[in-house]
Amino acid sequence: MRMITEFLRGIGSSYTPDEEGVVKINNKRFLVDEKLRMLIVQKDSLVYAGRFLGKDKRDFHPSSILLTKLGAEKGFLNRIHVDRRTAWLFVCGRDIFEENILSHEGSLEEEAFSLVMFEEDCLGYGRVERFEGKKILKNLFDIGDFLRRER
Amino acid sequence: MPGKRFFLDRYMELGHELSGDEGTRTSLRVNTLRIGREELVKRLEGLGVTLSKVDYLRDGYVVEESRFSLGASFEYLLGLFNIQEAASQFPVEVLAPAPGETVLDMCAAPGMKTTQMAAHMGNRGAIVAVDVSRKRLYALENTLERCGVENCVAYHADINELEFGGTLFDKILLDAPCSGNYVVDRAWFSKRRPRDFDRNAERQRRLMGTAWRHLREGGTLVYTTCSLEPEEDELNVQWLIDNHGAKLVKIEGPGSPGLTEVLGENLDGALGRCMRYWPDETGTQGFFVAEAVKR
Repeated sequence: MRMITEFLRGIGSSYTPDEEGVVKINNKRFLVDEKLRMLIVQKDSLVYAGRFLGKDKRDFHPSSILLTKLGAEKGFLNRIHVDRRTAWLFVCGRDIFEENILSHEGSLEEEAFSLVMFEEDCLGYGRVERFEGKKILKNLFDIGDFLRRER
Repeated sequence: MPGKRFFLDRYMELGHELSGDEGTRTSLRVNTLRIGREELVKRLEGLGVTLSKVDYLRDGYVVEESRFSLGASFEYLLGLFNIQEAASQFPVEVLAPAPGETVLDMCAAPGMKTTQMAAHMGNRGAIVAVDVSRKRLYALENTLERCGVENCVAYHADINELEFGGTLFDKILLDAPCSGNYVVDRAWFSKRRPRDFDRNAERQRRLMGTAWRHLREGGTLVYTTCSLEPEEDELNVQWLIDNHGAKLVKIEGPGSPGLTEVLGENLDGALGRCMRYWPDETGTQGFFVAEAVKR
């Protein structure tokens, strides 16, 4: 739970999942309501439950469901906005150079996490890093992953 | 191997003349958890995609023209729609799961119908999705995540061996594993033998019995296959009537009534309330749908 909260605060969100509703399945975290909780009867066979929040690895890796929710959140979250071409390259797994960022909200300081937005849609997120003297947004997750997973 | 002629003669005996070359068209289903129908149509049309509404489906459209692969678009990856054949969208329309209900999806992977149910329920209520194949469940997990489904618990289990602590379901979808049909598998005629149908029917009846046990009084079971073979369709539903006293509900839609006479055997007249999708009539793959109420 600490890793989820750290990620959310790091990206500028005030969202806090109700800790009592969080269920862990292997390294995945889900948020379940009372109705779903009653239907969790055989935990060793359970593979999915409720709102998928993300995975715990060394850091917390948010799900696209959580990212979509954050993308729609009002307020000053860290977001960068890109055009269609850059968006497509990002969805193909590429990082984003600073010059390809059309605009941003929130922090673009090094080590900051930021959502990647194409128009109103959140395509993933990354972390601001420096590469060969230039600022980049390192791709940490993009929705193209859904295609890559199916291969 | 019996081959194409054998099966076409068999379908003729069931009252339907088919060429064996019928095809289907690409269809999609708007994911109303993510976007409205009109909004998605406008958005795809802006990208040069031409769609036409399927009048018997709430969220279904035929793709008339597209200059790119829809499965590799932002809109697909964002979960705004699913590519789902029109006939396979119909069973959930019949089941009509509503917000707040408790629903069981018995052979759920890869999850197309699960996400369709979640959309009908507006992510409210609960869906229990079960499948015996771990590999196919990975696809289900991806689909649930991509489509933003939040009211589902999914199990890797044999449904025949799973208990839910006394919970009975309002509605159950049994999209039973079956022998499929030739429209979506061009090698189908050379792979299938009638004895496969009897073997499948045995498994399907076991699943039907399990479904009935998990259904509350007054609850609805929708039994569906993508098989045109009566052993897996009408004869199974006849078994459900004979052994569990199921009451069939008449299904309205574009297909033909279920068969009441099968290869010389007369069945309960209520089987005419089921629906068959013959590929030449509906322009879709073959499908069978039955709706039964527990009373």
